[in-house]
Amino acid sequence: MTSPVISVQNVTKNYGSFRAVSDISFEVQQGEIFAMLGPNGAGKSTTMRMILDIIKPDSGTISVLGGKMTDAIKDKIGYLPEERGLYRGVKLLEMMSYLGRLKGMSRGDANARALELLKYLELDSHAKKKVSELSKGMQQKIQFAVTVMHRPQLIIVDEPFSGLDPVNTRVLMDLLMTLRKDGTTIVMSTHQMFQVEELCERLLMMNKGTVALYGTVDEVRSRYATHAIEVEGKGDWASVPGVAHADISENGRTAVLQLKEGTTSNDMLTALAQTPGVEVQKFAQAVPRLNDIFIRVVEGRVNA
Amino acid sequence: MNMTKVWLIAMQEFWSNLKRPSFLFAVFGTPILVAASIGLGVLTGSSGDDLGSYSPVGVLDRTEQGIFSNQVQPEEYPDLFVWVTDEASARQAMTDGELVGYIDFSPEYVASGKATLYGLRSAPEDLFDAADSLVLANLSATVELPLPTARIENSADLTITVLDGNRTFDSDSVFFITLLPLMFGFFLVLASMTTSSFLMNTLSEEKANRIMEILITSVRPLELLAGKVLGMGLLGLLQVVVFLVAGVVGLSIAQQQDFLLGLSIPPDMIVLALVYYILSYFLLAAGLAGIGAISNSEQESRQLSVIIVMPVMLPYMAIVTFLLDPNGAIPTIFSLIPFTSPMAIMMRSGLTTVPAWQIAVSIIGLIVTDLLILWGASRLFRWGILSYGKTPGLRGIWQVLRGRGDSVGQTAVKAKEVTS
Repeated sequence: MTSPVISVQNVTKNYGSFRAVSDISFEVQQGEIFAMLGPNGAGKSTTMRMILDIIKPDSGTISVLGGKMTDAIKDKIGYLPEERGLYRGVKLLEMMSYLGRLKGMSRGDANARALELLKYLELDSHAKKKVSELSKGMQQKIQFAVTVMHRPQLIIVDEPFSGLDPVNTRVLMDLLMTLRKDGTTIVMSTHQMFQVEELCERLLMMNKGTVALYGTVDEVRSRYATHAIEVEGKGDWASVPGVAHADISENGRTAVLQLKEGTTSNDMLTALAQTPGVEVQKFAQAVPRLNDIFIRVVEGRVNA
Repeated sequence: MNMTKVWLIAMQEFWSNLKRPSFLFAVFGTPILVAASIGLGVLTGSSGDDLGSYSPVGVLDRTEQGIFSNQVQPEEYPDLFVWVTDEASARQAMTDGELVGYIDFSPEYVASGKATLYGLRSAPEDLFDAADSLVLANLSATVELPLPTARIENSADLTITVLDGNRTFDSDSVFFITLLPLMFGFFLVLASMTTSSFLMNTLSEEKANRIMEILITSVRPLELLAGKVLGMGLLGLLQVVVFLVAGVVGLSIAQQQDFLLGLSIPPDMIVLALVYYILSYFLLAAGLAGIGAISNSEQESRQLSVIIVMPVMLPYMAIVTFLLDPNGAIPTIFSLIPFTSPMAIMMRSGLTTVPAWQIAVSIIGLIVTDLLILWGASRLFRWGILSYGKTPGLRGIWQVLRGRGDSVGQTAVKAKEVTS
């Protein structure tokens, strides 16, 4: 097995008396899209900044692309910070070329790559415009282009789709998928769980500076899937034998039935069929949405 | 330190600022305004100077005819002149502080009309009128002497020699000769101030629009600081070259006029000016870069920049004091204090010969201060570039300099955490 692209081991970070990150460990593998989830203030951005060597951990070790951070390794990383920033008074092409060259590209290569990306993002006609003349959505796309200008091996993006309309979100998601196919490793933080379900193989969910969940998306979801059944129909779901608790939807047509310990799906199917007044139109294993898991983690209803 | 990246940052800084209309105005417009204000200061300074501080002046009569033997004081200046018997006693009187200078009427005076004023510093314009009155008053008392009528029509053409230097002035060009080096020196300090202010503004801007976080994942903070200081320093040098070229062109035009013949900037002053430009630039650039890094907006950084800019500008505000007595207590003290010394020495160089020890002390003081400011700026810079809390006040800045920035600002990323 190849060595991980990122290895974070027992890392802790304090800001004065406030513990931002507490003894976390995880790894990111070559070529995957890895999600970092968690509520605001969970420690995601601090962790990203420590990976990027912008700030130092108080304890623990971080290895990126095979070792400790060096100037050469920095040039292989693309970073999109949560707080976006561009030179507003500089022309697009000039700015992209400058930022590319700061990552070690030659002037010719940087110019060619900038034009290639502008064309991909359908912004090539704006190449000689200043950033301040572009719409907010266009600026977001440029910000993303700057991140991938130098064809980095590792991309770390903090909330890459925030503020984007669905069409532009799709454009950037496609670009991420293309990069991954080319072998680029991507770490992204987002609050949009459906994006994680669609794009990511594995995830790390943080809460209050600690690791709340860590594993593949399927693992995390299935970990909470075995004890509940999703049903559609009508009846007094809570009265069915084996049901511990029934979460009924607003319109009353669907419900998630939490099963008592020892009750299997087959037991429940039989029980439902035998319970008078209950009419089942749909019966399925309940796989919780990441969104639900996220909320339960934040509310403290799930243990790591 | 990756010098390729430092140079890349320097060049980006150089070209992007060169294209700014506000910078072009600062380069070409401000000097014109400042020249006008200095001219006004000199004019008001000299008209207010009625020789009160330039008195008494010795008269050494070495003419064969003894033109001044009657020792007649001109009516307008009854107490100005004191007669001396020989050169040695005149110089002794100057050393003892009894005379500010003396006019030597040599045996050749009758034929040439040229006399020499030896002084400790350059004389106010009124002395030339006083010398004319002195000659006419004494000629009237000795009408029987066979003198060329030219001596009556054109009584005295004074050449001023500052005793402890090699600068000489003649009666007609004294105003321009004192003014020109004064402006030249002033513009150099202004150049370093202009470029440093732009450096501070670009840093505040990069911080405010959050591009700093991207830059910092490409280069080290000190590479960024070095590149910016270098780029803006080169821009400042360009500004100095513009001043010099304008000065040379202006002088060559001015020298078409008889009365401006001999107008020049002494070479030693050019060297001195360049030394002070570099030293004052590092002082200002590093100081203002530190301020730019800890401020959250251009407005805030401008307010804080007063801490650095005000002391540097102080001598300019005391320009009249400098004109009246360039070797006086205030100009001398200003010349020795690191922040005020570049402007003070440059202004005095145009008016008098600054003692070498004062130049040496000021240069050493500036070098030490530059190093201290660079050290402090790098601390503020590393602490400030990624902190977006409240801009720290003087107390906060002091804490950061002492390495105790942890408690300053809520969202600050502390100095020791950022890779240097």
